[in-house]
Amino acid sequence: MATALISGEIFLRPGVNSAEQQTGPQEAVQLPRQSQNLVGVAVAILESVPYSALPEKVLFGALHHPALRLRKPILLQTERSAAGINVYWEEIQEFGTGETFSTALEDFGQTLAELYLHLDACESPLSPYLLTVRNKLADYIEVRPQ
Amino acid sequence: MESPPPSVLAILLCDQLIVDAQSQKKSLIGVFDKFHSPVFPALLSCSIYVKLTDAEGSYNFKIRIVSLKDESLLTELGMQGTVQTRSEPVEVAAHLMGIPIPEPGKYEIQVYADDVYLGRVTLIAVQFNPGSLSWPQH
Repeated sequence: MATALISGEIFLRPGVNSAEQQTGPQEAVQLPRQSQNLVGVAVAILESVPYSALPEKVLFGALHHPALRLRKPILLQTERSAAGINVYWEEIQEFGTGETFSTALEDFGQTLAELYLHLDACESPLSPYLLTVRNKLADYIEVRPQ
Repeated sequence: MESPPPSVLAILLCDQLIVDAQSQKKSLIGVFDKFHSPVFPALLSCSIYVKLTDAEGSYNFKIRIVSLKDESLLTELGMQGTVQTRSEPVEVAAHLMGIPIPEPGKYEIQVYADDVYLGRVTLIAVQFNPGSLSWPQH
């Protein structure tokens, strides 16, 4: 994806002519002409802005768990933070964090699996909020058939 | 996405991936996670092997090579595939030719199916001195 655009002019330091720029101000060496028909073309290389691989939203399908699998992908929002990258599932307000996009997604997957197993195994009555979370998780996650 | 998201069992990079014409078995030659080059920028040619489970239906697979320095995208490749049954694992293999590696550092090869992130493998690019006596360890 990296591309360089070539156009424009050669940029020199102010007050320095092109011979000094190439050879230094102390000893300007005259090089033999390479071609009588040489035509100078002014160019400048414009740095290309790297295309970010970090999307604003991502569909999560990386629930790496031996007993669980996803029924459908989960839409996450991503954001940069001082610590790295955060991914966030708005529907149940769960997030993952990491130094990179992938480590944040792995953290989110681990959190999600732990939460699903914890709520699924919970024998005491759940609060209405946790009940909603458990039902939402059950929409997306299922136990892998043996 | 109508098809269920596949689960990744393995993602491996190797020098060569040979598919036996009769049995369709894959042989992975020179599995690595470090890329050594005496100069950078460098071009990487390798093969990628992905083993998936829980897949069923048609997918647009995407492989993205990303620099972890700034999460910038270096290259993106796409391929299509159809999986018959969800109960059996499936293999995806591709030859990657001339992937630009701009400088030493950490990179990721990320695998997507229908824009769903499935997993990744890390690649470390290392600059080595060609005059050194020992071969760099992969």
